[in-house]
Amino acid sequence: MTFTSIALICQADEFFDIRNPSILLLVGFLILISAIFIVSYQAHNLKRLKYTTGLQAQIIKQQSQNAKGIITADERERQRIAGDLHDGVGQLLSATRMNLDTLFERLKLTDPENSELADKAMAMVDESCREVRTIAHQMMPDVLLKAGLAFALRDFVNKISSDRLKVSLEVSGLENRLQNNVELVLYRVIQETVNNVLKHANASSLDIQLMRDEGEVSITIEDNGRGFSTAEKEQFEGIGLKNIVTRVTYLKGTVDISSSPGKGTLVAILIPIL
Amino acid sequence: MENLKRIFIVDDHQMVIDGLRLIINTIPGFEIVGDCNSAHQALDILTETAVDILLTDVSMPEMSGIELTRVVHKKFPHIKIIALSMFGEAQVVAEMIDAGISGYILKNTGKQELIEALNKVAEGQNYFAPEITLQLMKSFKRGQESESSRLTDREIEIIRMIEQDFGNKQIADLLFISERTVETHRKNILRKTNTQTVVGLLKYAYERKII
Ligand SMILES: Nc1ncnc2c1ncn2[C@@H]1O[C@H](COP(=O)(O)OP(=O)(O)O)[C@@H](O)[C@H]1O
Ligand SMILES: [Mg+2]
Repeated sequence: MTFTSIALICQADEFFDIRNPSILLLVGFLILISAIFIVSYQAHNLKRLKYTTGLQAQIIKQQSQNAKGIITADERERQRIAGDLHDGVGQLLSATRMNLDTLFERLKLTDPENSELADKAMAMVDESCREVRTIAHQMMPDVLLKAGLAFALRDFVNKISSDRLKVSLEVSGLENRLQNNVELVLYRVIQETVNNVLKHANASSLDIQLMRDEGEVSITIEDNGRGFSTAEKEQFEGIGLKNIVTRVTYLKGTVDISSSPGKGTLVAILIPIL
Repeated sequence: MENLKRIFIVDDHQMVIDGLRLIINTIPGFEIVGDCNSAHQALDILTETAVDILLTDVSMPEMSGIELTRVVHKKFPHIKIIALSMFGEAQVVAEMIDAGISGYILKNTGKQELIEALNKVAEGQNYFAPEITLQLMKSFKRGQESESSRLTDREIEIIRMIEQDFGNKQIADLLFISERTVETHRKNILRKTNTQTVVGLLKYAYERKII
């Protein structure tokens, strides 16, 4: 519908009759469009975060790091964005969905083309809700804060496990929760390592083991994928691996990365704990 | 008309309540007797207002829907509770079930689902959104699958080296990992095979033709 045609309709008095589907449809689309705007605003926000992460890498490169400061600032920012997504966009979209539902029912659309359009709009809002949910979850999983590392990992693994990639997760000795910042850092490190497996490894199995015993937590993440040559230095230039090392160093732990082409990849992490 | 089921809604976002009102007002058999934006307020109002079904958000500041559900379930056991949330992670749903809900729906819900959820719960049954049920089933299935631990390729390689009497240092050098990582592997292997000694481990490995 173009602006001229809207103007033309506006001249007709009956346009303002509430029973006229056009005005209600218009309202519906305005709601939808504003929702789309909000989502793209958030996308912009996310890009900003990526940029922040880029900046971070620079800082690390210059060896001027105060790792603790960077990590807590990063986590705080993630938590803020997840919160914004949940409390802002998420709730708006949900309310939009409910309003559209009511609106379309009141309209009693008879033209199949119109009801198809209505269904499409609702499906799009549904999809947006799902997107927001996924993004907010990746930013800061609710379950990590509320239920702890073991549950959050279980949840994460459930989401990525598929017929093509069998993921096994073994957790032992983690009946009690670890310190909050340790849980956050370990979650991020595992998330990043597993994302690398999904992105680069083309593996068919992935084994994650997390064990706590006498004064330490050990984590091994092992895939049977294509592997890479750890000897070639430029391979290590990625932000992901660097971030892993920085975060683990912050916890005074060590990272062992063992991989060679064709032989899969192992990332082993040891963190001392009290 | 006297058998209308009385609904009370708690959500820290008023626009969600407004959206729900629009829909529920058109569903026969139910009436909304009140709403508010915090769990504490809800507890106050519930002591004075007769309610059959409580629709509550899960994550709210100060007092969460989980805590609210626990308290309401205990203080007003006749009130049926339906959780309404943006999220449906298995763990959170499980906690809400423990706390005493009869249903769980996601916020991008529509009239059809609300009709089904409200009617089922009013009749004393449960209702869980299909997406929620799927999540629960997935986590249940994986929970069962992980019962039998499998050894990874590397772990099997290490068992072979142990068989050849290699020490941690030798294994570490061969695999380009630190001795401490070899130690982690050893611990994981013993835990998975439920053995305590090298002899026990090798016996386990031969019996199952792992090496
Ligand atoms: N599990 C893996 N399997 C195969 N290659 C990997 C794996 N993890 C990392 N890599 C290699 O190491 C490189 C650096 O990883 P990373 O620092 O996370 O950066 P990025 O993922 O952005 O490329 C990757 O580009 C990839 O070539
Ligand atoms: Mg990466």
